[in-house]
Amino acid sequence: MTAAPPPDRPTLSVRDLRLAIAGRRTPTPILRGVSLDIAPGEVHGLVGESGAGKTTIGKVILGIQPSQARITGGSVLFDGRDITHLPERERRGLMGRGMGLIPQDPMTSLNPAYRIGAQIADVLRLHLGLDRSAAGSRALELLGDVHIRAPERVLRQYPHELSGGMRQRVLIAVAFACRPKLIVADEPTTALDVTVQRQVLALIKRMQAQEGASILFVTHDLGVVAKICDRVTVLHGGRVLETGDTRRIVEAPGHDYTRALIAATPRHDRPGDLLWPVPEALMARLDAEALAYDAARAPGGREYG
Amino acid sequence: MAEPVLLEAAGLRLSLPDFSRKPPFGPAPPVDILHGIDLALAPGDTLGVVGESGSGKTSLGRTLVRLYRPTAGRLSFDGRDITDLPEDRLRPLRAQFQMIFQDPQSSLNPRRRVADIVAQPLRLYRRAATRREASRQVDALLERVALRPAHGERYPHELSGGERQRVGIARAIALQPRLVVADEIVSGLDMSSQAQILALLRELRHDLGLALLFISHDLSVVRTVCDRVVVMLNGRAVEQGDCAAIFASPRHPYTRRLLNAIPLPDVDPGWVARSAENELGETLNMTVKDSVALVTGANRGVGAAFVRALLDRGAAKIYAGMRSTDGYQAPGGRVQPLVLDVTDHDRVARAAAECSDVTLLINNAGANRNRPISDRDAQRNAREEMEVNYFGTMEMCRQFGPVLGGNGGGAIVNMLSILSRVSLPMIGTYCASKAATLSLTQGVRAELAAQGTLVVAVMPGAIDTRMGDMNPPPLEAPGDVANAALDAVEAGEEDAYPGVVAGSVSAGLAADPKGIEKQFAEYLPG
Repeated sequence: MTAAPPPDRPTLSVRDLRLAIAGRRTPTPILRGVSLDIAPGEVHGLVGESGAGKTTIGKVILGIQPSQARITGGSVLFDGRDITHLPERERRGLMGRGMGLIPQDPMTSLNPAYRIGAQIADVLRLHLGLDRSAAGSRALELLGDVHIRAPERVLRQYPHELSGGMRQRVLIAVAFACRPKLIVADEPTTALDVTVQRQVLALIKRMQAQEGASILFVTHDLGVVAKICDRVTVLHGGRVLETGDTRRIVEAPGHDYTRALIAATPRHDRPGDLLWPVPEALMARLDAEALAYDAARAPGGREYG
Repeated sequence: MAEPVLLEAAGLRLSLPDFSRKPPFGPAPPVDILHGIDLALAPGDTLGVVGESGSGKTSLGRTLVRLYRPTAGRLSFDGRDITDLPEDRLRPLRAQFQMIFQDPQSSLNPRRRVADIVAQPLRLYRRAATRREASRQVDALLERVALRPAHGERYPHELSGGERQRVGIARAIALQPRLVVADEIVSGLDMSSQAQILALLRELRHDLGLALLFISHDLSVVRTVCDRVVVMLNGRAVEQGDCAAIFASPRHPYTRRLLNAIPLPDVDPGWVARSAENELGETLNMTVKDSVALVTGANRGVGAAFVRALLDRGAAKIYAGMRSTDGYQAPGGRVQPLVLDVTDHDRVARAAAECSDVTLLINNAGANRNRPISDRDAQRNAREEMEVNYFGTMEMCRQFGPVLGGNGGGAIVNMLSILSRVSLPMIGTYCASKAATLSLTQGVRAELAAQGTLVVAVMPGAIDTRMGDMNPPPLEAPGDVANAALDAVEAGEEDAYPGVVAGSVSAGLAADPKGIEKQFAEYLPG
């Protein structure tokens, strides 16, 4: 694990963030007052099932939320600076040296028409202003950092020539290329085989320790959270149900939903009948709480309009 | 008393055309997908099939329900041979074995309503006399998978992933089959929908007495639904048995690796770092299929067994080292005889130049004079043993290290002996040469890790060959030892102890080295 984060201001601070997607008649609330802090050098897990809003939070932080999405309240502070409504140009300046992304699907995130080397070099030239040859040699170095065995060859290859694990390594290299302060990792290992997943997790952790970045690690897998995150936020229906140290959350969950999620996670070291789906009564209660939140915040749905 | 068997596969093989290697004219060459799978499923049984992508688990599932026709072997359903049954005669049987597919998005017709999709098998097999009867059955099926009748009116894209998978299940059980093959049906779902689907499967299995073949890459998921499990690697079943037993004490290194790779929801700060199994941070392993191997000492015994095992696993080419090639017939042209005496260092260097495409080096050549040190010729015997076992292996590693590195890493297998770890009376000089070679192997392993070469030390007990007759019984079959060594290569295990004796001695050495040494000291070869 990394050393305790220094007691200065958080790298990222999300305050009471609210967001809705514009609909034909009424907007649909997606985030209902999300708050979370990520300290420098912290790996922060964001868990929840599909529809919880965890990917959306990552997108808002990176400023790449869909155009129909409207931030209706709250703020995102990056390194103490409010970036919630930053214009497009300034946002772009933050990418690379400020923030990086490790996406879920390595195939669709690499351009199939360009060689790996050109794609890495582009990032380096754009964000760090390196010239062609400097970018080329730095790209080679980066591939070595992420333990790609024949980096010279890989630089000349196209994405389809690499395995899923190799592509994910390339994207990890790209994410860390400009030594960003924060990396959003959106389900980076979900599409990989378990043995490859383990290697990629080890790689992310080592690069993080080496470069000192903070990571927002979005996943639905509590097993992955338990192995690589320092702190965790549990999300459901766009609301934070609880947040805390990984050990506390996993070993002594404070919310019924977290407990249910742990009970629903299959384990190969126990007989199968010890697996319990999340109870329907609990799901209904959470849905009702979300609706109550909407009603209290915006009578008549005005806030989201 | 034999249990009734519903589905049985014996020596099931499958080859499919490899279109990536198809010449511009003429057919695509075949690629072997399954290499002889044996399994049996009784009525109501649940069998999990696990493996990583490319292991052949999906192809196995599809072959078992005859979506593919097996290339060889035998497949029977309910006592009836269906291996080569033509489609028209297969069709009435198909109602009894159904499949649920991985991706409900692409396996459900997007232009049909859910009720239509579920009713289709009923229509095709004329299980409902009237439209009203069909719709009554569809409603019952939807209810069975915890969907409401209203879901029947929707289109697949209007459903969540979990709901779509329920539609796939409802369609599969519509004809009241006796066997369902479920291929990765929860891999796209999050934990809570996954748990719901798994609970539903358990319920259906219990209520309908279904036999279930459950294909998944996730051993944890398999444990929740299956009684038994088959672990697949490169088209072979490497381990098979009761879930509880296999998960508690996996025997095959690959099963262990799979289990260790699964992140359980327990806090374990060292877990991530432990995966850095070598300095590259990744496990070195290689596939034997399509490899180019070189086996020294291939005239007989274990060496000859290696050649056979390599052929069986689809090695592209095998250089078989022997002192003379007289009378040697190379089956299929994939075996190339090579005159090679490992003590002739010039010859070894030349071999490295000639065989520049080698990716898997098997240092099997060995010498055992079988004499005690009281022997008049002890000095000479010991030198001869060292010359072959130690210097021969060293020279091979030295010359072929760069060859392997140039070919992407590859692997070296050094055939040692459990006597590398503990010595026997009367053949101490032989044991010393094997101990020295183990030490050498560890050094070479560390040196070549950087270029991505896996170096495996194989330390079997006595083998049923001329050389092993001095060692304590039982004797291992050469073929078993060769296959265990190749398993280690494919799983990326650095040390292999094939057989009962080697396994227990190695465990004994970890627990009580002095005790083992004493036991061996008391053994006098008969």
